[in-house]
Amino acid sequence: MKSLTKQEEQILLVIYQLNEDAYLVNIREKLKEITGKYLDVGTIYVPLNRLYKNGYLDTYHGEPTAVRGGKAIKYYKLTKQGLEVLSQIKTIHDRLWDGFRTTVIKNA
Amino acid sequence: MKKLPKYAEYLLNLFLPESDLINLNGDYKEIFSQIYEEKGRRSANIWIFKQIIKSFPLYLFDWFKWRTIMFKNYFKIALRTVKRQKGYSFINLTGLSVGLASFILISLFIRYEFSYEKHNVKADRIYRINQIMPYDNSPVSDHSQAPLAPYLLDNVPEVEEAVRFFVAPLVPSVAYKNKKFQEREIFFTDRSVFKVFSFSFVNGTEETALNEKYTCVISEDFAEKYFGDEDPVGKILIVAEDVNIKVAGVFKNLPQNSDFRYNILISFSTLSELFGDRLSGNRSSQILTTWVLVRKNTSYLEVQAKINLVFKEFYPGEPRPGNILERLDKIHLYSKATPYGNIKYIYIFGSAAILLLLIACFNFMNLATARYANRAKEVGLRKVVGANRRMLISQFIGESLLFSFISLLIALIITVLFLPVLMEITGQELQPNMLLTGSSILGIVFLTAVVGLISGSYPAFFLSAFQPVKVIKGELSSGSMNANFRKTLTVLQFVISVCLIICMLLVQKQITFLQNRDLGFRKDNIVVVRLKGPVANDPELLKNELLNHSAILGASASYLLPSRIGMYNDVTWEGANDGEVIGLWQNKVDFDFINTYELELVKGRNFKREFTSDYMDYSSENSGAVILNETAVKRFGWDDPIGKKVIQVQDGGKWYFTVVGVVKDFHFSSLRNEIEPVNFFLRPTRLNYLSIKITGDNIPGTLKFLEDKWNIVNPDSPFDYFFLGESFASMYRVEESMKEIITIFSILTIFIACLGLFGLASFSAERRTKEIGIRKVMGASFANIIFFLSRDFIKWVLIANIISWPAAYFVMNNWLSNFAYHINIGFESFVISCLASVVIAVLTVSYRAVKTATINPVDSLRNE
Repeated sequence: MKSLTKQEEQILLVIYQLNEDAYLVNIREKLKEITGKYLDVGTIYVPLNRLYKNGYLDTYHGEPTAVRGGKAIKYYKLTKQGLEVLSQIKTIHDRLWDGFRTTVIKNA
Repeated sequence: MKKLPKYAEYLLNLFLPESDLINLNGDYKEIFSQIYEEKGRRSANIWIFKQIIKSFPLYLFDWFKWRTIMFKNYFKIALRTVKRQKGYSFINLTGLSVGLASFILISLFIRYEFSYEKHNVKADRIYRINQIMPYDNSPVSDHSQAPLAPYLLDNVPEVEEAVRFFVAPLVPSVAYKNKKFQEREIFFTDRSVFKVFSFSFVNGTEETALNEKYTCVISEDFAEKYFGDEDPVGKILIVAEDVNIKVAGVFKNLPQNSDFRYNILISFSTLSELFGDRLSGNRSSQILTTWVLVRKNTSYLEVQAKINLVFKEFYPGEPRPGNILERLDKIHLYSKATPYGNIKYIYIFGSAAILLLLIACFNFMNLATARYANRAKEVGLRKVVGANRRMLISQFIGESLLFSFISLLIALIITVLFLPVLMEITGQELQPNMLLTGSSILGIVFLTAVVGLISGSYPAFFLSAFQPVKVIKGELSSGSMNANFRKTLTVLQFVISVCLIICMLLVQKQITFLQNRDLGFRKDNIVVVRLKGPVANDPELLKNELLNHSAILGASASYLLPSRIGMYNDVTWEGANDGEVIGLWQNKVDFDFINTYELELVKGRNFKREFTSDYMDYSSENSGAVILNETAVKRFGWDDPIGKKVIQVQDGGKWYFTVVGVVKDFHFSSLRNEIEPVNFFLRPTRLNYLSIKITGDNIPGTLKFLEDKWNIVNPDSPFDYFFLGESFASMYRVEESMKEIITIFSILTIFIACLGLFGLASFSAERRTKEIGIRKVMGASFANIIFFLSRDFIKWVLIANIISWPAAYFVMNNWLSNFAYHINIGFESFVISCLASVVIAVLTVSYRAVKTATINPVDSLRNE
């Protein structure tokens, strides 16, 4: 299994959560919503592009919109491989995080 | 949706990957408008700015990566092209490297010419005072009066320092212990010389040097020559047999790029001590050069005006010379008074170098566009896979840059090899390490880049304009525009070559004319001995001794030689208007001068020994006899000159000389100048030169005889002689070296032009192989085909000839007008150069034509 960087992992997960309308701007929004921090466009685009090249993501174009000056938005969605990779990571993570509780910190 | 700022839009388009450009642009815009609405324009602008800055490194990396990949590809293709077309590459490289090498050589020469006297730190403030008499055609003199320098220091506040240089007369001898030589390079000078000119002292200090009478400073060379390993400071040199001069210091040798040539500088106070006021107090005779250092931030024109103003007080009487300031570092190239170099030749050589380089560039363009068919498919394919025009242009220009830099390497080798030849021709001291200074490296690289750009420009634009569809379909139109362009370039190349050939022939003709013209006096087989010691006061004794020898035909002592009459006096004459004066060149001679030099007497008689009234004698008003030349008689406007008076006005007095004879005009200076009025006085004593007319047989024996006699009569001074003919050889040195350089240039240009012609001829022969095969099958003869193949080229060369004639005529007419006596341009040079260029062109073309014409049509028609 190819390993993913933390960023790639987060982006894949966000795309999964967004389900339908994942494109660069709302991926960035969603990431901010969860992590509390805005990322640079480039910081998202580069891993996004890499994930696409590695076959974890697929793209499709929506309807041309007036907002974009008559041009279509490029959307991303997970491929089968992408889903597999996420589930593998989740398994590993679950096992690694097993038994960890946030309350422990208070007692430590 | 808000609009992005213009700059951001532009930079984003530049930086973002092309494949996702539209999409990302939209994304950026969306976020931008969002921020705009939430936080205002300022924040949005800051944000987009940050984004752009952040994406820059990645962009750079990307750009670089692709550049390298493409560069590798271009480089590979370029090398393949070179390999595949060895002949053409060879022609291109040879042409370019020869062009570059000659350009570099010439620029070294020119830079050297401009570097004269620049080693003087204050060169831009040092001026020489030239003087010119207020009549027409009066020569500019670099000499001025001895008391002028101190006078100017006192009366013109803008003059910070003033220095005088007085050349020791008559090549005196200098002795130390048993070493004794005649020295030409002895100058008397003021001690301020060290404040004005830049010196570096090896030994001794400049503050005290030349402060006292009878002290001198000497050059390193000179110290070596006389003192060897000894320390020269404090030693005594014996100058001119009886003057003791103490050495106060040794200065570093003068650089080669200086027109000053002194080895000993003696304090000026010594001169006053030796000659008294007769020399250093004389306010009317121009006997030395005066140099002034003007204060900083003063205009020299102002200073010049002031000098002329105070000069009225200084110089008694009329007419008064005008003073002209001439800046030290401009003297070498621009001076009329002392024409060492000549700015005109710099222009000529400079333009020749540029033309040569242009011809080489033309070759490159010609061959590159002619061979377009070979590259057309490549261009088509590149375009199909996405190359845009800009990329193609940079590819082809890159190729020509590659070529020009390879040529540069070859050119540098040629330069180093030919540097000694250039030194030989120009007499300059040029070193290969002159190429290694920062500015020359920069200059050479820049030049090579320019050459690459020029020669690559047209082919690049031409090739990149191909339409891929047509190319790949094979519909390549040869394009008459392109063919015309090539024709024009070839014709231009030959215009330049033919011009240079004509110039070369005419310069050659003029030099032959200069050297062979009958000067009006005998110059061959004349030995000139420099008179010194007691013999100079009375040469008659030695003369009579010499005349006993059978090989000696005659001898005459004179103050000056006929070829170097440089004394000049203002005279008036019987029948002149009041106050009318002209400058008259003067020589003092003995009785035999006219016979020895075979001057032709046209009227009157020669000086006679028995007529005491002939002798020059300033003690009475009737001061002697005078012989004039025809020009002088003409200038005075006399019909019957014999018995008329020439009146010399000097220091308030008047002296009358009676004309006894007139000689035919002779050329006493170079043929550049018109013959000026000249006169001879009779004074058989105190003379400088003894001219001895000898037969051409057994010259060494005769010289031995002369030396023996000299040593008997005058044992104290060394025997010092030269052949008069030799001094003429050096008279047209500049023209000689110009001829050599033009010859080399015309050979080079015609060589490069022929290389180009050869390339084009082989190209067209190659393309027409099939056509020729068919013609042969149809019955064309060998001669037919040769004619048919070379017809076009010969036509071009003829057109080039016709264009170049007026150009060459104009240039040469201009050059010849420098000479008062010159050849007629005539038409034979034009005919010769026309024939030569046509013959050379035919030979070049026919080599290829013969090859093509002899191919068996079966082979040429079968090749598919």
